[in-house]
Amino acid sequence: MGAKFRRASLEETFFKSPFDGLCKHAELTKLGIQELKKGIKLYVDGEFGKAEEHFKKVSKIEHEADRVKMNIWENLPSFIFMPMRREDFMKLLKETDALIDNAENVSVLLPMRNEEIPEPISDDFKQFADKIFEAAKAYDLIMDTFTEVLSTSFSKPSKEKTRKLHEQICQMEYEADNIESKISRWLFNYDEVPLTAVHLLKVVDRMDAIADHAENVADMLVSTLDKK
Amino acid sequence: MFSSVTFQTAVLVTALAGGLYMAWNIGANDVANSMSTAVGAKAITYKQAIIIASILTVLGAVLVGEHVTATVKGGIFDPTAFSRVELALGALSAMIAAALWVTIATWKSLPISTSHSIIGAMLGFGLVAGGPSMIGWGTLGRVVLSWVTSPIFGAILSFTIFSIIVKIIFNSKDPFETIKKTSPFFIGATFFIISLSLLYQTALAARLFGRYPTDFEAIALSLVIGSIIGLMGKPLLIRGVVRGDEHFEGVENVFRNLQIITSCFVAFSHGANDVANAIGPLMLAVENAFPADSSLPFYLGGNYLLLMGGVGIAIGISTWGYRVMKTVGFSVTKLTNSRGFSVDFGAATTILVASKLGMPISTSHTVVGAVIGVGLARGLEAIDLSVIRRIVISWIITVPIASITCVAIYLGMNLMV
Repeated sequence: MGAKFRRASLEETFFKSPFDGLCKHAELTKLGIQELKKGIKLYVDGEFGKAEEHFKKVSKIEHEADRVKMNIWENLPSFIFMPMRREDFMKLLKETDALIDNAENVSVLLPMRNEEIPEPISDDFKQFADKIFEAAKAYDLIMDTFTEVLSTSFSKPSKEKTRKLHEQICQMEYEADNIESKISRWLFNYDEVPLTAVHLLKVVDRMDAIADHAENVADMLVSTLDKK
Repeated sequence: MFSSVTFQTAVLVTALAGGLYMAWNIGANDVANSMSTAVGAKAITYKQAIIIASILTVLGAVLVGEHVTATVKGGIFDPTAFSRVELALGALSAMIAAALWVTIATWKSLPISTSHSIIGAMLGFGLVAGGPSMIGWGTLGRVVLSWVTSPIFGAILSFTIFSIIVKIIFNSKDPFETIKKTSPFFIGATFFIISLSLLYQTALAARLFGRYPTDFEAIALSLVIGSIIGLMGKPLLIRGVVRGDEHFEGVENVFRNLQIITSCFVAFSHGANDVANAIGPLMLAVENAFPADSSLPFYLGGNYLLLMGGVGIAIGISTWGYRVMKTVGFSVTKLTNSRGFSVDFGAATTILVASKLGMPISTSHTVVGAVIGVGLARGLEAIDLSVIRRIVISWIITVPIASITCVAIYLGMNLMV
């Protein structure tokens, strides 16, 4: 009698949850954003060496998140039934991945020119960074709430929480967009050091993309709530 | 070639060994498989599962097992159309054929059903010994239909009960308080169904009442029993249960206690349905191994054989089932207590209803149907739907394989007798 002497219809019914991978990816994204936040703060304060240590960590975390994403991608056959459509799940994963990708882009771009942020936009830049990280924080919360949505099978209270967080993220993204326009307008007219202008334009563009993708994730989660 | 005493002894020994082996296999695999939902959701430990399953399957077998056994014994073909020797050899062949196929399938981890195997084997005997005209096609058609409908019915029930849980409990402002208030309903519903299975057209009820209770009496009394146990059980259910820090931890803790009740329900319904697979052919073989005018020894009476089948299932759970529970339990850890409760309730109710209707269904396939039902209610994160294809393949191959094997064994035995 072999050790596997059993008929296994019930065991075969359960597939490894892809949401575990998604949560792990979201957790890594959160860590990456935290490192980026520390790095940017040090950069703005002129502590470029210390900032770079954090930026390097962001790259490592992004690499790990990529591995998690590929693992989900490669191990999600079409015959798996999930509480949301497979295509929606894949899009969601792509968006969360774009979020950490852009965090890494910022962490690579910013230390390419170690110089102080020009005085006229220094406060705006700090405020802009705050809005981006607030949006990213709301993204963490909405991903946490999504696990509650799953554990309660899309109960009304959990859906309400998700919708409220969605509103918050949209508001942060809108406010970040406004500040970004203000900074960009100034930079486009900054003729004294054009390279600094180009550098910072690229940086704020990538930073803004973090909030954009956080908003996209929130949009997708909200649209998933009522789809059956 | 054999003297009548040698023939009787050979049939008796082979039939008892075959019946016990089938019962052991059912306990080791099917019952253990079903109890894994409660073990995986940490509602009960392996040891508790073994104790619950051992006691409750025996009770289910003895108290409600007669209906399905009657179908297996005499529903697939007309027993009056065969000689006693033919019936004894046919039942024996069917039992050996089914046991062989179940063993091969278990060894190869195929999701086949013992019920399908035994029905397929009995069909093979009926066809070879009597021809198509001797087959009870109507009954057989209903049995085959029940194989398809039972997983669907299990899915519908678990979908419904889980949707009710979401609507009433998870959607409420304070789910923990709501589950505490509504818990008597869930306990009551479980005991209502168990009571109804015991009171509705059973010999037990006839003995208790001195006559068969009417449908109304059976339903009314079951409602009263369900309500009383529901209300009395509430303090026990919520005693020591804390709200907890995690999301809905308290709610799941109450469902954990409820799952102890539903795992009893699962074991009971398994005994009621599955015992027939082991005991139906055994009864047919031993009853016909003895001359028509001789009386059977008392231990070969119907209830004793059902008891033996129940004990055989219990031995299967105790000696091998814990390994199955350990393995399967690990893979169903995503099944929280509220989901596990819904699966158990949907599956056990379906199995018990089928048992009352005398339908030998696949209990494992019904549990799979119930899991899919919870998945359809967006209750599970990932269900492998390819299991449906594997189950359908097992339906398609089991009946012909068991039939052909039975025919070969029966023809071989005929040469020897």
